[in-house]
Amino acid sequence: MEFHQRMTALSTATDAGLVARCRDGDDDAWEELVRRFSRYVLAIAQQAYRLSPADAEDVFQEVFARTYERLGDLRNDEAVRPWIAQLTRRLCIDRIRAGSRESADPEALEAGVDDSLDRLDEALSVQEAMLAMPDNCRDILDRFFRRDESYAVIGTALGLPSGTIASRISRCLAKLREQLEGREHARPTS
Amino acid sequence: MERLLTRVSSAERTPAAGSAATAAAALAAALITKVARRSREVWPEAGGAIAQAAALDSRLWVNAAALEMSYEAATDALETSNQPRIAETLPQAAEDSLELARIAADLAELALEAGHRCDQAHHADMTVAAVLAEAAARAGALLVAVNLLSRTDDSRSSEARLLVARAETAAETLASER
Repeated sequence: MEFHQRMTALSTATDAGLVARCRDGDDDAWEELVRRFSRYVLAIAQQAYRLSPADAEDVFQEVFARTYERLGDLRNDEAVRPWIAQLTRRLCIDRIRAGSRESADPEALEAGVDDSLDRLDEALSVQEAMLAMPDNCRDILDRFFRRDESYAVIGTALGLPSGTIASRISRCLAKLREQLEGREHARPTS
Repeated sequence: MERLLTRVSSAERTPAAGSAATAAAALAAALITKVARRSREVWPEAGGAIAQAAALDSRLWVNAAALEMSYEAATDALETSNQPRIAETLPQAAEDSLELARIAADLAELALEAGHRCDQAHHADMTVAAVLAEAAARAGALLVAVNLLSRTDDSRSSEARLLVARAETAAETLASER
């Protein structure tokens, strides 16, 4: 398989599929797993636990070092995301405690973290669902919601009448919703 | 809304016409959202219209803040006859006004889409939304012309005219379907 096709296949693989390939020693799959979860891990460290960029980077390195070592211990490959989230949380708390030189109260450290994690999980779910969308839908949703392009700009770029853009976006959002609901039903509880 | 009306009617320089036009467009977004919410049973993709109206509304208010600032800067420059500042600030005010027209034209087309898909008991609401959005697009285009000192050959003037035409078509289409 050509390199490009192989990387495309990996980028659209399920979390479980990726974990299985990593366990078989597939270096490209490991690279994809780190890429897929790197922003998630950094977001937990920086947004939920408010670690400095340097501390968040240390946590990031430690999370993926341990993930690499312990991937074989994972009982349910579908649960890799909550597993990485839990590992990141523990390491963030360790980092805060080490920095404060006092026995920080775990409950105080965790205050508000669940809400942040819910938001991050939701964002990651949308990102994953977007990857599974047809190219035309992914493109139009990205242009409208992320790049803030107008209907006219989108229409010109895609060769479509601007009057049809709103309905196309709505149809693609309906597909995205189906993707998200499908994933929600398939997701294991951590 | 009451707070905005109080602020617009105050003797302060801003908020002024740009914010008033923004509010008209925001009302169009709100009407689209209401109608989509009330039409879910007959319109499976109503959620998509709600999401688009929310995104456009958000862009409107971000742009409104930029428009107020650029208007203030341009007015300062004009009042002091500071030519370099006039050359710098008026184009920015024109660009922010053009962005208002772009968002408003999109809202008019979204109202048209909603008017065709929604529970038809709300068709008139979508006509009003499109008319409000058209008014905002027209206001934005007028402010573009004012800030460009009526240079109709500028590409921004041409784009503004096209945006008004799109919004007008949407509003007239809905109005003709009564």
